[in-house]
Amino acid sequence: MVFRGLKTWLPSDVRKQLAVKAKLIDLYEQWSYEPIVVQSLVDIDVINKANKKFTDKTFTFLDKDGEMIALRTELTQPIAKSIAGRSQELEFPLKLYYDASVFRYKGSPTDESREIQQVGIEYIGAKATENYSDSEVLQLLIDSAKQFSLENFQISLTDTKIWEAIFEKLPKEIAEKAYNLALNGDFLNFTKLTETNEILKAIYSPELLRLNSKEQLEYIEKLLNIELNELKSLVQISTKIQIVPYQCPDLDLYTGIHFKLIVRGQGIHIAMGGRYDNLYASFGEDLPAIGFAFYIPRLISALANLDLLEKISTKESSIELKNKSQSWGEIYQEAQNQFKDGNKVLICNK
Amino acid sequence: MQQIKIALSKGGLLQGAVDFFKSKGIELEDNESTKRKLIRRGIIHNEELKDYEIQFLLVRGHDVPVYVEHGAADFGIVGLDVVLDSQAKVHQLMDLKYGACDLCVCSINGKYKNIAEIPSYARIATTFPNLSKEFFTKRGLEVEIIKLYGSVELAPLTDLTDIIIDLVATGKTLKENGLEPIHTIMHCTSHLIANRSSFEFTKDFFNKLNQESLVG
Repeated sequence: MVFRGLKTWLPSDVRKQLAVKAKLIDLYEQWSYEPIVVQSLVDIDVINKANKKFTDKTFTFLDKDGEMIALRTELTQPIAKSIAGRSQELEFPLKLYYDASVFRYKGSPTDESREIQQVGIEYIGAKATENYSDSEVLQLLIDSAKQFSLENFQISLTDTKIWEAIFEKLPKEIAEKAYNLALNGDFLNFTKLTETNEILKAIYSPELLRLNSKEQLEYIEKLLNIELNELKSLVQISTKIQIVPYQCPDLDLYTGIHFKLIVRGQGIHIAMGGRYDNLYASFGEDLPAIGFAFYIPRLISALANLDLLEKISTKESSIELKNKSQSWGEIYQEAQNQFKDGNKVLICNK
Repeated sequence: MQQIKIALSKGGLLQGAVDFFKSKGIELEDNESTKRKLIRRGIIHNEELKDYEIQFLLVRGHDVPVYVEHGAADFGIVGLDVVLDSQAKVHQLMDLKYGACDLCVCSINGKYKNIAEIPSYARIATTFPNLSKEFFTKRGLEVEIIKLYGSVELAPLTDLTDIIIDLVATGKTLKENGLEPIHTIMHCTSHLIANRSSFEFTKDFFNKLNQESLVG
């Protein structure tokens, strides 16, 4: 039986995956992030409570006791539940990284994979400006891309504050309509809505599109009468960070900045993240948090398209040990000598 | 030099797209040696666009959203009906207001006069399965949708279905095949769409296209 969207990876692919993941993990280790391994099966409530949009993408099962369980759809929620439950024995802020798969019943529109490898980080216990946590996380995302010599990439950044102001200032049904139009990319009908609701021009309008990030933020501040000082300082980190006000973060989960890493020539973002300060409270512990995850297959595809993959995943050749008239003991000893010199060995007949 | 890839729908809507780009100072390369090519160059006649290298991809209408959604094309021009039926996650940016037609429910002359007369479990042939399903679901009607890839007018004539949902421009083809529209689902024109990620790198090109003053 062939399972749609699932596959076994052969060595040539696995080498690429390992090389890509190692680059990311080495970087996160440098910044004192610690590894965490997360359980694959979770309580269905963990998924529902944190992010309802995943409910129809979740593999669910009844265990032998009749309990509904699910395969994790993301790492953030199960990590939040585990850390919230054991917060007494941990020191905060806590910086974690993971390398694991998530499982989704429906893949993305452009990729039917149901098991998606992710490498990501979680920075738990620091508010947005505390310890420069938002800056550090954005910088890490940029440096992650630079690890692979990616050049033509962008971090698309927004803040839930912008949509929250829209919801505060407009009647709920209009704000919801505007949010859904922007979420669906329907900027024609969105523009019609701005004709009677001018503040929506803070999200999308021809004049906004023509401004640079700094000017956009000033324009939005003026229209919505809010302060976006944190975004202003974050865009100064790098020219790679660009404000995209029509990006629509899931407002049930995110509570601050929200960002995507996109690469020119790739149809879809290769990493995404943001701040979710209320997530841990839903598991009983009030801990602010921020993080991001790389979709490893998308990253590999981007690197392959840009001819950057071979450079980082070249297989080292092995020294061939011929087994003619030698005993196992002699071959084993020879192998040990090669290992000391940093070589790999392959025992063969030729 | 920034390369921009634009997917255009071959067939009846192509000339409108060609005229639109010509009005902006971009001419589709079209001569004896290129006329069978599916990838063609855009010849720039406008100084404001001289930093762009344009490549047109000529594809089937229903494939335009696919090319754009996957990022094989940065932009695409295709009917709104095709965009919505595809359910592709793309940006809809401009209504180009040409290629106007209606997506209609059509019946054999006199068989059904309106939607209310269509029975549950009726069979409906269409090249727009998602829009058709959505239309009847909203009305609480359980119908069987049969997806066809063209010549939908043939379905009622061969007893494949009772009803079709298809695009109607002049109504001439319907009339010649003994069919008539009984309900208009939506009015459609050609739209400019964009890949969501690549739009962040190609916004300046779109801004220039969107300028009233940009005339080729």
